[in-house]
Amino acid sequence: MSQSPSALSILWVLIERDLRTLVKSPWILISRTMFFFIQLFVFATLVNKLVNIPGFNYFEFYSVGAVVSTITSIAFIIGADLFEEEELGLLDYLLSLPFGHSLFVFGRALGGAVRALIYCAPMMILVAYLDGMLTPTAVLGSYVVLFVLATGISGLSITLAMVIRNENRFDVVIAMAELATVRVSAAIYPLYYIPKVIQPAAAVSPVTSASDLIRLLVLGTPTGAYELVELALFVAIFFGLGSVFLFRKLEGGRFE
Amino acid sequence: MAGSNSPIHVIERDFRVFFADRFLLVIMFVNFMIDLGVSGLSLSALITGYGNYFLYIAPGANLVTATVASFQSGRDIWRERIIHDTQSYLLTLPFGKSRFAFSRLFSGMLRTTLTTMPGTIVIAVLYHLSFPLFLVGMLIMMLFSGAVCGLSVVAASMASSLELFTTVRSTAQVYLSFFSTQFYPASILPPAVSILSNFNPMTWAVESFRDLQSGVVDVALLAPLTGLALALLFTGYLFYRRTMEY
Repeated sequence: MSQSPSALSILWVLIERDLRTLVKSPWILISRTMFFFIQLFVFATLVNKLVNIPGFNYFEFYSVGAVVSTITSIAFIIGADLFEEEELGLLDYLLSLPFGHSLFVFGRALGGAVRALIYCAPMMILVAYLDGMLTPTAVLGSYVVLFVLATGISGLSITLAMVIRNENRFDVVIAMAELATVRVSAAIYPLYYIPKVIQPAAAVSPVTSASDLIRLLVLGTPTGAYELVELALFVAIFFGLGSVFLFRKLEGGRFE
Repeated sequence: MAGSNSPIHVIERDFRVFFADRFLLVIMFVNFMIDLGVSGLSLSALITGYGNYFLYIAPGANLVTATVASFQSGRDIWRERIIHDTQSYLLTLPFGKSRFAFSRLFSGMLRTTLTTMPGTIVIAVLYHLSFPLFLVGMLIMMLFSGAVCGLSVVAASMASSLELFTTVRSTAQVYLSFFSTQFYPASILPPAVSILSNFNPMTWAVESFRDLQSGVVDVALLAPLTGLALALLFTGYLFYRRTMEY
């Protein structure tokens, strides 16, 4: 009698499937790569000419933010994939596969994070090179931070995909969630320059934590250990929420 | 009373479709407020040597919202063609195909202008515009919406998948924002970007709006915007019309 596959091999199959799904969307990959370069070499370069703060290089600051916002954007796509699978009725088929639903949920969130990291890995190397800190420690450390952030964002995206029922609404809400997570953070401007009323929200944003931690590694900008805790909390909350909502749906909750 | 083949019916239908989900309108206004109230204020705190940078980029936030709203027109057309397969039915209605196509584009312009009106009011208040100049501001929004509706209908007419349509939408948004004078003055643009920005409706729309602060209307800025809007609307019309021939 044949042995049932191990949990690790199932996880790998799920992650591989999500990787293939993204690779089969060449337009998304090409356009997001193009946007990254435009953000970096057009927007950041030109705005750097306008910023006149002694000792502050906006291009270097923004370069890290560009990677963080790109990985956020890619990690959000997993929700769209799940939404589409639900609409096409593919989720029912996936449920019939011979493994537990909790493994399925875990695998999808990991799949979203892994593919986002693979996609952004060369961008991170380029940014580390441009910022003069192309060392294994800086790059590998940044990968860990990016992976943790992408896992949390995947969880958030899965949560939204499971809560929203209308396609048009989902599209607009995802766009807003992406805009809010990046703009209400220190990804593209320092926390100090964000309006005072927004600062508390931006300070606890996972995108701020990820940006600050990578800036510590790549630019040497000091930051506190609490950033790690905030990032971990965000992942725990949304990974958990995404799992709960997806699980509820898988168990025949409220499909329409 | 409008006749049964009046374009008013087409426009009314598009308005009903668009305003059926008011939640979307709220989200669009929230997006505008994030753009203006968070990004605008943060960037203006960073950039201090160029006058009031917040007022400089404020119209851009509203024009970005207009871009999102205008692309909903293309999305509606794309869904009719590809997802719901209702275009064939719509073409059996008692309207000429050309009139139908123009009405769809016109309704896109109108509903975007209406959607962004709260934003236009906010900018008008920030700029202390008189009522006549506010109306000129609305006209600028309408012309810009026309240009983007044209682009969105071209995308909807060519794209066979949602992935392709959303990619064209994102590309258009990036082109409109980063290759224009939305964030930076024309004087610092590299030559290649400067050339591209001259063919960008965002450049002329944002410059026209900024110019309203001086209390006069500069026709030299409105003319290129009108020209680009008409050209893109006509291109959108041609592409949409092509999808109606079997």
